[in-house]
Amino acid sequence: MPPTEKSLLRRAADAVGLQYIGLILANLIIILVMAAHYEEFLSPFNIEVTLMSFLPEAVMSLGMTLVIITGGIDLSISAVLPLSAIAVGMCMNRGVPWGPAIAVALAFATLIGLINAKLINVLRVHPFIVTMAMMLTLKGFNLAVTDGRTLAGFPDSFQEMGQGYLWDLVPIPMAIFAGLAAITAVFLGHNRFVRQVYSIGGNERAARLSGIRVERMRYFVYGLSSFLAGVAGVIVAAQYGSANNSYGQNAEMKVITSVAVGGASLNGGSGTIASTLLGVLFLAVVNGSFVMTGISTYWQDIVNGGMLLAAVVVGEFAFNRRQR
Amino acid sequence: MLKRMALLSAAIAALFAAPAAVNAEERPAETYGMVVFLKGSEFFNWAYAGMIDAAKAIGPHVKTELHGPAEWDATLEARAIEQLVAKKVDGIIVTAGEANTLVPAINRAIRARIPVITFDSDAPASNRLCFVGTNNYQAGYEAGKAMGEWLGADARIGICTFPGPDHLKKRQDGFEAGLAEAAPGAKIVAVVNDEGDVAKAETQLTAMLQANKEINGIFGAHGNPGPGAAAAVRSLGLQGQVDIMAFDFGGPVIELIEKGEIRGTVGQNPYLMGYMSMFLAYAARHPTEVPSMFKDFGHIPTAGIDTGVRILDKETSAIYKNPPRF
Repeated sequence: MPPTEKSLLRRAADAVGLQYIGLILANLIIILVMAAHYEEFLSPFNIEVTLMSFLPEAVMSLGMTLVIITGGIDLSISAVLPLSAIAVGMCMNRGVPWGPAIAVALAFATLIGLINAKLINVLRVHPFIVTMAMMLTLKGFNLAVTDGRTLAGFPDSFQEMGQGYLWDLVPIPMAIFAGLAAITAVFLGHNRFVRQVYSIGGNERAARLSGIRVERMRYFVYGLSSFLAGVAGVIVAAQYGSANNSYGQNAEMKVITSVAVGGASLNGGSGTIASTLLGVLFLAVVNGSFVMTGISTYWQDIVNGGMLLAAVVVGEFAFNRRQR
Repeated sequence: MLKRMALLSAAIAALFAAPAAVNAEERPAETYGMVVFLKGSEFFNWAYAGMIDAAKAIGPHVKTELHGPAEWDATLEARAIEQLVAKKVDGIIVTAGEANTLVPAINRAIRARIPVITFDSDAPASNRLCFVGTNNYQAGYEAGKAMGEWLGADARIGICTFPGPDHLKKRQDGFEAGLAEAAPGAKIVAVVNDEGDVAKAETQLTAMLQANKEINGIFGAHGNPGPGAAAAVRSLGLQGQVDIMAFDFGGPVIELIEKGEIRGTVGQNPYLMGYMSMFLAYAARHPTEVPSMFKDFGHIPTAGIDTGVRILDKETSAIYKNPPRF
């Protein structure tokens, strides 16, 4: 690795590190202040509910982190989530056992990601446009196949996956998420192939010249992002025992906000799974605090929007410093 | 002497203050949450206004909160219920954005002995204690009857609705029955799908009116088609020839009724829904010594409560012109 690139990476890591510490502090301060005023805030049940309330977004944020590191964006996830929930529901309602039904739903979801990547590669259009078009198309599709009706009556064994606990302690969806997060973090941290996302996001042309197959990498990241949105869809279907085209409204915005608040630059080239998880935790804690205090949730959107704006400003600042 | 008078007045003041102190001690603070699926909508603001007034009537120790997403996603509503359960509120009043999705969350609240009352839109498969809302068949029936009386046997009606929601189907069935009873010979000529959208309603109704020249009445089965129908009639220059019956009393509908472009609207009573639900939640939270029909809860009806509708016209709709805001 040439020395300049090394120092660039180090400086980027420094900038991420700063945001990382800031975010840990912000989370801690809110939690401590809330716990001092509301004894229920740190009750085991409230902790579970607070974490579970952002679980689908947390799952999707894993894939979105990789997409954003490459300098791309995936808006279609908010439509892939209900698509996957509907697909698994339709299969089960037609008598397919839940294992194969999940496989079909995840295959569908992944296919959408691969189509996104193909379109971005072939048309050379910004991922924003391609994935937005895909989101709109899928939302229409979800409505058309269900006619606006809700699918329900899923087998108990399937619902157990969304509503049950491991060792009577950890909600199963949370365990699934922890597994996925660990795998993604390890691969993003140590796998040479996956780490190429940083090079693509840092400088696509340089990455191409150094022999990285950018197009192939896009299939991987958009496929993964969509696959994880599919997993979120299956979890939601199991959690609520139903599937409806309304699920996942504006989820893409919460996911992007989590990743950006976590410190990933929307220009690409930086971000880690750990910092994204801190970003998700921050949104979850803020949301939980609003409910606990009874302050109008309208203010919550203002806080989330403000946080996204602040994250973008800080990210730009760090990005410009890196460029210098 | 002055000292003695001061002591006496202090004693009198203490006597009056004592019962108040006991009262405050007897009635610890209680919090009740309303969860809606489209926070900010006029309809639910009316319901929340009813809830607040009922809480005030019960006493100053009862506080209320309004929760729920501003976008239509039933999973977000379910999360809001779970968060209120974790907060250990004293009661939850909820309108189900989607009936099945809320079942696990509502059941969890009931298991935690928190009374749940549904209003406006029910979740019948859940363990909620009671439903307060409009009997949709009856609401449609009243609309059909009124249009039958307006137009008589010559009524040729177009209905604007969208497939899927059960309550819209019931309104349409009720409408057909009411129209048939009030005006035998009246006909429903066309039913169009507006996909729940006001702009689509206008396009669909414009096409419908052009294809069916005999139509002299439009029934919008939910909140959106009313203004869409008025726009369609206006753009085709058919004012005065087509009577419109809208549903609900959002600001645009009332304005169009005042202008004479919409003849009437089916007024539900969201204020009463919130008002009654609050009283029921409070009663459920406070069991008496006589065992009720609900284990762990107080006495409330086991059957749903119909808050009824009224066909609103130019004169009667004015009271709803200024919706409450929160």
